[in-house]
Order: sequence, then structure tokens, then C-alpha cells
Amino acid sequence: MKERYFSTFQLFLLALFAALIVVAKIALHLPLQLSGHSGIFWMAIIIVAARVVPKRGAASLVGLTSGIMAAFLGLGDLGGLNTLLSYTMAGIGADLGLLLLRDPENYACAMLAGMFGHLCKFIVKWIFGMAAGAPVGFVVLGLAKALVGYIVFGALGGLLGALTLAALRKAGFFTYLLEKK
Amino acid sequence: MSTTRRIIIAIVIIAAVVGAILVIHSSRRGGYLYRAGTSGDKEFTEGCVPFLSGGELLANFCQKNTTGLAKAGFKDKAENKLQEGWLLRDVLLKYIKEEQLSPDTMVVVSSSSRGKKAGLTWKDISNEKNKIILALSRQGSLKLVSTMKDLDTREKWVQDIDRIEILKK
Repeated sequence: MKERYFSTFQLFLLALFAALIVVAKIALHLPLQLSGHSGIFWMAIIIVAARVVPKRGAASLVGLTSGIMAAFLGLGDLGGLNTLLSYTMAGIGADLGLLLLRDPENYACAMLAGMFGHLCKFIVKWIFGMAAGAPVGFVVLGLAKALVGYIVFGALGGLLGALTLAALRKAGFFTYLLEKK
Repeated sequence: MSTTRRIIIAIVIIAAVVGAILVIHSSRRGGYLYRAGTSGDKEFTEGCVPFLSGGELLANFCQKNTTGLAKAGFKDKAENKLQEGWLLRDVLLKYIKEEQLSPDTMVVVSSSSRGKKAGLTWKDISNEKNKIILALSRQGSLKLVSTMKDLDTREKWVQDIDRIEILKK
């Protein structure tokens, strides 16, 4: 029988990370009037997910799953399709970043992967905003300012993810995962 | 390939993507690149603006309705750029008689895409010194500009106007 790409345990972990992203988006709010500030939480979760399940496509799958959940919960300001695509693209972007950078435990690599993911999300929102002519927050605030916000918070999210991974390694989580395999 | 080289490549890719976004956006929104690549007079081409009174649609203000209206303008303080268009007073009087307007009649000019609006009294609008103008933007839309106190900065102006309404008491 052909071996599955993701094991059931890995899929279970990825689904939990996806749920965590949606919960973070709903529950965690920073008192900042800056575009993309929520990226600090969810890029961190995506980076952690990409290391906990070290396979290509893990971050994309987390993005897609969280996008489906978020779309059904009515999150986002431009409708379900925008939400689904922007969450998915954040995961795909992080995956592409890690394809190049490889090591999510390296702080610089994690920050850049976070930037990639968050930039991809920004691009989806930007294209939707242009196509729909809708009042997207970052169009009102000024695109350059919003773009800087997305990049900075993506990088901070990546850094937070790398710090979390370092803490998990210290706690012996990866040894536990190897045993679970 | 070393990690340092990978990081440099990633930074270059991010910089290129950011640059591309800014160039495309600038071109679309009439920024420096757009202005450098285009020339000629600005025109009101971005559709018509609904003109309502007490919730009822009176007319749609379009490019063709601007014929016969005298142009007015001023140079703004911040960028010393000419803001030129038609006085809101003249546009209102095109669709409604002056007798129907009292000094405290409120006119609301709004933009749903920008999430902005400005409420003005007829007393202010009719005062030519206030220069309350529906000025043309590079994108072919209208923006409410003025030299009146409390409406004399870009933050307070209403860009991409898509509704003008006279509020009835």
C-alpha cells in the first residue's frame, strides 16, 4: 500500500494549528491601528507548524484549513473567497519562503519566511481591493504604510515562531515527536 | 548554497515584490510614475455621482452635466498643487432652486470607498470665499476640497465622491 504523504498524526497536528490561527484571529487583538498587525500571531503559528511537521506543503495545508474555517466563520472584510485565498496564500508564501530558506529554527530564516507568507496575504487583499474597488483598510491608510506594516509584522511573527520553536526544542518536544513517528 | 546566500536571495525577492507592488499601485492611483507617463487635462470620467434630496434621487452628476459650469480652483497649502473643478454651490443650483435651501440646510458629500464624508451647510457652501469645490482627480473621479477652516487639509477632503445628498429636516 502506498504510504501517505502526511500521517494521520501530522494531519491532526496541522488541523490543530489551523484552528489555533482562527482562534488567534478572533481572540487576540493588539491595540494597534496598523494594517497586518495580527500577522504577528498567525505567521508565528504557521512557522511553528512548518517545523513541527517538517514536510513541504505543511504550511500551505495549515493556511488552506484555517482559510476554510475562517471563511465559514465569516472572518475578513472582503468576503469568504478573499478570506480563503488570503489565508491559503499566507501558508503557500511561508512554504515557498522555507523552500528557499530551509531552516525555520534560524531566526533570520524564520523572519524572512514570515515576511514571505504575510506579503502573499497582502497581495491577495490588494488584488481583491483593486478588483472590487472596496474600501480596504490599507487603501485608506496608504499602501506603502500598510505594506511596511505587513512586512514588519510578518517578520515579527516569524521571529516569534522561531523563539517558540527554540522553547519547544529546549522542552524536548521534538524528541517526543520523533518517538511518536 | 549557504544560509547567508539564501537569506540574501530572499531579501532580494521581497524587495523586488514590494517594488513591483508600489510601481503598479502608483501607476493605477495617479502617483508620480503615472503623472510622468501621462499628460493632458484631467477629466471627470469615473462614472456619475448620484445627487439626492431627502433620500430621493434627483439626478446623476456626470461629465456631460459640467458643460456651462464655470471652473474654480485654488492652490493647496500642503503641496502647492492646483485643485480645480466646479463649485459645489453651482452644482447644487443646477438641480435645486435656491429658494428651497435655507442657510442651515445640510449637504452631505460622501465616499463609500474611502469611508469618508463631510457635512456642510448651505451658508458655507454659498460663500464663494470658502471655495468648496468638487475638484477633479487624476483618476477621473471627484473630490471635495476647500479652503474653509476645518476642511482645508487632504485628510479632511473627501476623495472619490460617490454621493451628494441634501438632508431635509
